[in-house]
Amino acid sequence: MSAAPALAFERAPQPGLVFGCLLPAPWVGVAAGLLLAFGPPDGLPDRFAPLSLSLVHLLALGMLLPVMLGALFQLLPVLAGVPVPLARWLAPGVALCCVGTASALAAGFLQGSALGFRWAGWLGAPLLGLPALAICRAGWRVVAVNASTRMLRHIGIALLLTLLLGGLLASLFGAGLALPLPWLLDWHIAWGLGGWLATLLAGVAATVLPMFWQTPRPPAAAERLLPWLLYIPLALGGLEGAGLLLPWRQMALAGVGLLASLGLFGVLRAARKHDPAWLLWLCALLSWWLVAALGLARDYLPAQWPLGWWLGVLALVGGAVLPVNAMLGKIIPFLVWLHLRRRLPARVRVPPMQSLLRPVWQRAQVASLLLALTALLALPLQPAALALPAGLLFALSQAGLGGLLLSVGWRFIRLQRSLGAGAVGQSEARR
Amino acid sequence: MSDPIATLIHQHHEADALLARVEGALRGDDWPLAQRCFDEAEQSLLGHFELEEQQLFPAFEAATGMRHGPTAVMRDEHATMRDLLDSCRMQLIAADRDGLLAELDTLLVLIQQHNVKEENVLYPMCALRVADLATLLARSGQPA
Ligand SMILES: [Fe+2]
Ligand SMILES: [Fe+2]
Repeated sequence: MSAAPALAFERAPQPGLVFGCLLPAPWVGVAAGLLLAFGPPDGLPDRFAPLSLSLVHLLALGMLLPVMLGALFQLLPVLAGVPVPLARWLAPGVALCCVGTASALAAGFLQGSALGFRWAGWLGAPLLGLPALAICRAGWRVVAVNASTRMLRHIGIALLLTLLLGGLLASLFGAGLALPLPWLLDWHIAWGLGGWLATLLAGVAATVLPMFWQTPRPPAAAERLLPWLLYIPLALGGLEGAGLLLPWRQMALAGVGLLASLGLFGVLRAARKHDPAWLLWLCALLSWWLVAALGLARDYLPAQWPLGWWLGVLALVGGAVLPVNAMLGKIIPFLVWLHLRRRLPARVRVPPMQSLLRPVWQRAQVASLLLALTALLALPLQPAALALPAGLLFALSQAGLGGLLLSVGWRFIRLQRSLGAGAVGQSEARR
Repeated sequence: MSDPIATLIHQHHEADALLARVEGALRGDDWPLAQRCFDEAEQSLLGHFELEEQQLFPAFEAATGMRHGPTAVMRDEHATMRDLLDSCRMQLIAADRDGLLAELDTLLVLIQQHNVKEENVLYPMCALRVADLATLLARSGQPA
């Protein structure tokens, strides 16, 4: 097997390893919600308020990054037939490393102490660079045939650049430099939100939306947009460091708007709109669309509008927490079901996934998350008064998801015992 | 038959659409339509599994020498999906709407994760390694 890609989907990492990356996510979300509810609200809703910066990194790095790395460990072998090198050794440390780095940064921003930044910049970023390098290495071997594989082939570089720029910023803060180059900051955010988050989500959505929600497949021309639609403007952004001013921000935002419009077009024509998580995808794509529209209209909007806060909430909560919640609600019951199916004798009937995770509960969780998103967007009206309810609502929605996933795990243990025992009983009776 | 891989993928989409129609019919409480679409979906899926197991997989195994690799995983998953089709059939006979919707939901997820592996990895490999794929698949009498 030299020239052709190795067929590796039978070598996908053990579910346990992927669980380790996915399951802590809702509980980090709970922590972020509580931090908003009870943290120091001074300066909110300014995007540079210490609490805003802590929350952004807790969400992006602590909650979302481990899920996305776990997803890539699984997607690279399944979608592209390429296993991630060393995934078995890297995966167990991913969540811990992400949460640790996010906590160090949050402490750095909240207390203004250089120590947190030094930990994050000198230890966290290099350690997180390891899975990023492994994903780059695996991507190198991916044969790009559609939007998802195009994304998989090139996504590692976006994470690596985001970490590199973030590590650099943290080091500058850690060395006591108050405000590093604004361009560096913008470029870090652009690679993080556009190069990594939006590109990854678009690539994943191109496969999972037709799969689970039966949306029409993206047109062939649109499949070719990834990842260059966003990578080219972001790369041009690098020239700003050399003094060459180009409209790369507007180009990237227009790219995000185009991807969101394509996604919306598909989601609105989905055949399985009755699925509880469909609404999450619809709102996620609307959020990205609003990010693009508000970002592009920025210069024409009243200066007192809290655009920074809105863009952050729309991209990270609306655009990322929502689809991550949607996917966790699909993937975890599926992996558990598959695991039960493999462990139990073929003649034992495994109850359907919906009995592991009841749609009515899932619907309630979706409603709570959308309510939290609304409260977060409304926060600038009365920041001091609304931080508590908005934070609590968000924490509650994520505790709801965490609780549901735990209940899936609990049902798994009970079913395995009862069905396994029943199967043994049957075979003994037959003897 | 111009592109045998496109035909196989088309068969996937056809079964998807039929199963989505079963769900739609059940939501509208149209049992005769649900029954009809389920019959068609079952027939389409079983025919497709057979084509893969009888023609495609053996040819891939012969060409690559891999007998216990990906095709073994695919055969296993076909068996699981056949069991799920039986479970659906039982719920259909019992006219248990929620039970059938739940079984269909599981079947759909399983089919999708199976198809994506075939479409992204196994089929392109077959196109690369199996000589004269078009004739091979046409031999089983599947429509072009
Ligand atoms: Fe198959
Ligand atoms: Fe197939």
